[in-house]
Amino acid sequence: MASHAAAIAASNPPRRFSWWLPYAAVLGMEWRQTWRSWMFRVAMLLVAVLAIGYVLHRAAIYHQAGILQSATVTLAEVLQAGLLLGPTLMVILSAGTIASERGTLADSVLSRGISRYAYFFGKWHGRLAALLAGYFLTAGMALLLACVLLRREDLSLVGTLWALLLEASVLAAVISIGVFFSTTSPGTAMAMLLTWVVIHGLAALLWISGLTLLNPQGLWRWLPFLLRGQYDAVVVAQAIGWAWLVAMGAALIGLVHFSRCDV
Amino acid sequence: MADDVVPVVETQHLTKIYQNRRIALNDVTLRLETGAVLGLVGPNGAGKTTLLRLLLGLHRPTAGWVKVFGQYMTPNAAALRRRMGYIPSHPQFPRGLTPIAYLDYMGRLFGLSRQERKPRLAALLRAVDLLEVSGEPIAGFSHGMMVRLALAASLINDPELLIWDEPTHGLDPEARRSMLELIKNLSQAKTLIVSSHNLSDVDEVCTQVAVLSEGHLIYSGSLQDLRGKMRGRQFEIELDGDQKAVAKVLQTVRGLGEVKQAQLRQKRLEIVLNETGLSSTALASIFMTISDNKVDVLSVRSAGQPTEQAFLQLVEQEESRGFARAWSYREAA
Repeated sequence: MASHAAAIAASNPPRRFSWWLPYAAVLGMEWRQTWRSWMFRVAMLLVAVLAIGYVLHRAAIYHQAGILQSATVTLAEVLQAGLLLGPTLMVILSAGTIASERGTLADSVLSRGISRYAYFFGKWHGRLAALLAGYFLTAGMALLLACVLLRREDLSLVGTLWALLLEASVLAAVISIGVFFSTTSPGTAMAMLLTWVVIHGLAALLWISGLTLLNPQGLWRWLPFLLRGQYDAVVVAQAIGWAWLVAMGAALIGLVHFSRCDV
Repeated sequence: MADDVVPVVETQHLTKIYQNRRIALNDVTLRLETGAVLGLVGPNGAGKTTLLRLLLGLHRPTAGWVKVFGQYMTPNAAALRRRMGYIPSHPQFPRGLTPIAYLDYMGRLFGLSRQERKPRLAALLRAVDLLEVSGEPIAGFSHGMMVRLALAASLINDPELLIWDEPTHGLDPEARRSMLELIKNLSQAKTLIVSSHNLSDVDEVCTQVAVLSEGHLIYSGSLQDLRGKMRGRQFEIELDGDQKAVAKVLQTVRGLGEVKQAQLRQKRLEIVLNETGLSSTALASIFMTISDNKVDVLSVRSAGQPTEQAFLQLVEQEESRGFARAWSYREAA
């Protein structure tokens, strides 16, 4: 073993480094690890069962009792439930992004030829992509099922896309805040607690302040109208923009902190 | 002239204090030249791993600095880390990966193209005897296999500087022997820093040694100097001759001014020399006495386990200095 390994180590092959490869490697690994995580799978299964189960329940009412069921109303209720439960789930699933690997796995990665920036962006983007893909997958299944089984005359396709995008943007902000606390906290539980407190504190503040954009009460009321296509595209785009601004702000602060801290 | 050569590793007044609660490293100044094999030794909690983590940029110094290849090491100095290979003391691997997938991941972290990393990872897996299990999940591997995989990962980028934190820890004798042989072979082309609890390992493979005690660097230099400095003063002389003559030798040797302590165990004369004076002069007097009594010498050897004895003495001395350290610190300042 010794002579073989030494010979290979001494072979000095020509080296060309691709700067984007380390980022892509972390991103790919984060995506894969998130989808492999039992917590993520359980969460996905739970959400899918609840969303699809609710749509099937409404469809059963129509089939058994003959009472007409609107896809718009049902989907609005599903998305409203997502607005209520989604942030808590995202807090649980995002707070361990970096905190869970501190001092162990992070060592094995950060001791290689990767900068803290590349690592952070890889982790953040990987987790964001995996969790939002999970969201779109479950929401998409519920939407598809509702369109097939329920009355969909008043359902606007463009409006539905806006609604999904808006809710995904809010969840992206939550995930980014979770990743931020994941860089600053010594452990996953602490990161989870801090994220949960900040998210709900922010939501309460927005609610009390009465601001239109990103006000949880406002978003709750908008959803049915969005699904019917009754919305002001500029206002919705602004809300989405603000959500992404919060997401990027949280990530930026996390990045600055992570690039200077001990791991 | 020697000062013009850029050292591979250089630290100056390197200090690490964790959250104003624990001093892990205290004013460590170190210089490591190309091709050296540095053994980093010290008791548990001496700051060995902290020093290695600072060298890798995983931690930031509270004071002082670290230069690797002549440039300051920072958390974002990826270009410097591309020239380094690291084995942590307890290697961890992402879940569900096979050795091939893991080494491929490591290669990508170093920015190596597919054409470079694929043949290299295959050759390394073969070299560390993991070819047969290269498609199996790492989770089921033994400790020895995990260390071998970590070893392969540390070589995937063909590094110039290798930092291995307790590489022989938990290995069976055969694997340990292979690891030491590997270090010897690698030392012909690379610079190595090996942290170890096992002083006989350090004795065997290292050209330099740095001794840490409670975060303080109490010795840095060649192993030979350490042994000479700490113990050229204990000897064992195996004698052959009449028992009466041997006893007489003991009596005479005890009377010599250079001899601090002498005792006889069967026909083995154990001698401790005084701190002052040349040991060669003292030994000449002792051999003269032996010769005068018509006693023959079967063997002569320096007493005890060389490096281990020196290390223990060094740490003991450091601990016994007590508050005297404060005075020497003031003088040094």
